[in-house]
Amino acid sequence: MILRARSVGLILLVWLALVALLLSVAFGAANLPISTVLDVVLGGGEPTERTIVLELRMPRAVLGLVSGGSLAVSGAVFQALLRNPLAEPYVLGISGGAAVGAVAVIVLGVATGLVPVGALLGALVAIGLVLRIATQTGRGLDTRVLLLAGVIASAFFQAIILVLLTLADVESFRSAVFWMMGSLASATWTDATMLGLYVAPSIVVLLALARPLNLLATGEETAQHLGLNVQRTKLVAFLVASLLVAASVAVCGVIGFIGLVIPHAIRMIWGVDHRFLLPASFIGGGAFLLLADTGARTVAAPAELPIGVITALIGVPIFVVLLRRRIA
Amino acid sequence: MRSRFGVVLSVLACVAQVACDARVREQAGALADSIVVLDHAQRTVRLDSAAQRVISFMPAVTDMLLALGAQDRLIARTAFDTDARIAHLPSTGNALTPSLEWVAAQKPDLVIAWPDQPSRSVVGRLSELGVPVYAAVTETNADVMKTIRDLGLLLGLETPADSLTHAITSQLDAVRASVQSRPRARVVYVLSIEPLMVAGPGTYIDELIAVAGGENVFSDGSARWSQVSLEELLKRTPAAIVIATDSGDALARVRALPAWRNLAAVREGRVIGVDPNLFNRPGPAIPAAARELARFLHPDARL
Repeated sequence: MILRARSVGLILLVWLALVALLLSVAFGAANLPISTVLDVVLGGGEPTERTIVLELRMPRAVLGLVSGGSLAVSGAVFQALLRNPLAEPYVLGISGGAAVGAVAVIVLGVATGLVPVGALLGALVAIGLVLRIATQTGRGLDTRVLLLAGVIASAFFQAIILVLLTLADVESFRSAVFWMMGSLASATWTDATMLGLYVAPSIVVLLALARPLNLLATGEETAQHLGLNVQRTKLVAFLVASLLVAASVAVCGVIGFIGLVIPHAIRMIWGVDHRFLLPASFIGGGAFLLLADTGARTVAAPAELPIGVITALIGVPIFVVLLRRRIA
Repeated sequence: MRSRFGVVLSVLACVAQVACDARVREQAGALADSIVVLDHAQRTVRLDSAAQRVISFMPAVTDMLLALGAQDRLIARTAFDTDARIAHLPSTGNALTPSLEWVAAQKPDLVIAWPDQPSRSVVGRLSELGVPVYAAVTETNADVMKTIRDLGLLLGLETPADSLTHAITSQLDAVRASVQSRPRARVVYVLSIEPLMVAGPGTYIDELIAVAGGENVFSDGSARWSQVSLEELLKRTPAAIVIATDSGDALARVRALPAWRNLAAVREGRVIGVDPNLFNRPGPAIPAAARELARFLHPDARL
């Protein structure tokens, strides 16, 4: 029965993602008729239309799908690992580290193309720092210490960001704030492909950890007795999920909310089994970010809204409904 | 010695004249030839013919285009461009996050945007898509003049551009001449009160203050526009304060602020609120801004 509900759920989510993909390629600020979009996809259309569909909408759709999926999966993993419902991809200071890296590049005015590199380096430093604090204090990798280390590191990075912003001139200030709002607007095929190539193996590793994560959810001691190498599982899960977030943040900036809410929504509907939760989160997160981005691109066209506005405005009501249904 | 120098000078002048003539002939003679301009980001902007479908993301540049009589060539505006002549055009919002696909779909033959900042790449992305983009900077009066001249070339409106730059220069000269003999007033230009942001060196405001017979107390600042402490402001003892604000009585506002009351300029009522739409848009309006400043700093001068 549960199995059947889940296969139906997975099929439903895949359909949702496909619909989101179609919508995001079909709609945009430039009101192209659906027939034109089809024409372009089939190899026709005039140059401007081809550019809009193939070079602007498509890479952006793929990037949205991949980064939304990555954020939701890593959110699910962090919630399991830290056994804390408030855990989300950025709780361990990765966004803070990435922001320090990106803002530093922006404020110091090194070179325009280096912002993603700065963000990635910042995120990696944050991961290393948090892991070092956590492993040196506790016995093994104590997840409570890990969580604390993450929160403390976040506060520290926040302070550095504020210092950098205070020193920044008006232009860099604006630029830095833009970066921190997160956006898919400058997506190129290179961004989408690179992130995709990076994300695919990470997702495979996390999917392989689904069963160990299920065991971990029963409590570390029980999992140990059931023959799980608890320390190794925790370490690998933490590192892979963190690297996933680091890559996404480097390309799209900080996109909040998805990593927190999508895994919860999926758990509320279909239960806590990670063998289902992880793939479902990936597909659901991707679809949700894509739908939100399509909204952000079209609602105020020809201007664009920050994507975080849409994810929260749509996501919060849906989440509240789910929460109330569950309690009732 | 002196005569040899003179010869060198006249030779140089001749060369310059010939080069200039060649350029003029090139422009006038062969309309089919492409228009080539080096923009403020040192990029080469090449057009096959004068631009007819123009999108400007910079309100100050939109003002310049209007002053050149090019309102019919604009196909979009920003939320800040409220001039009646272009109010009917679709708005690209705050112009900082335009929809690239919408811009591409309008098939503009010239887009004017700020040079790319690290976190957004409007110029780069549009150029990749084959849209000609002119990256403009309007920090100094010289920037403004260059932008107007370049727009004249790109739109085939060299004559209006020439008269506009000459008009701006001569009006600024007139303001300068009328207050030249007067003692310089120490003045601060406040972009925002909270946080306290002021105009520093290398800004058109700094230049306009000088033209209007004032001395910017933050001329030695570290950045063009910088956030400073109130202490720093008190220490520099401005005799007059200019505040960009469109909300009510600037003097009454700063009188209500505890530390500001200690400034001599505030006690003596030497505070003026100026229209940000006039002062924060370095374009054809700079002479008007200079005149308003001069009238405030030297009320008895004849302008």
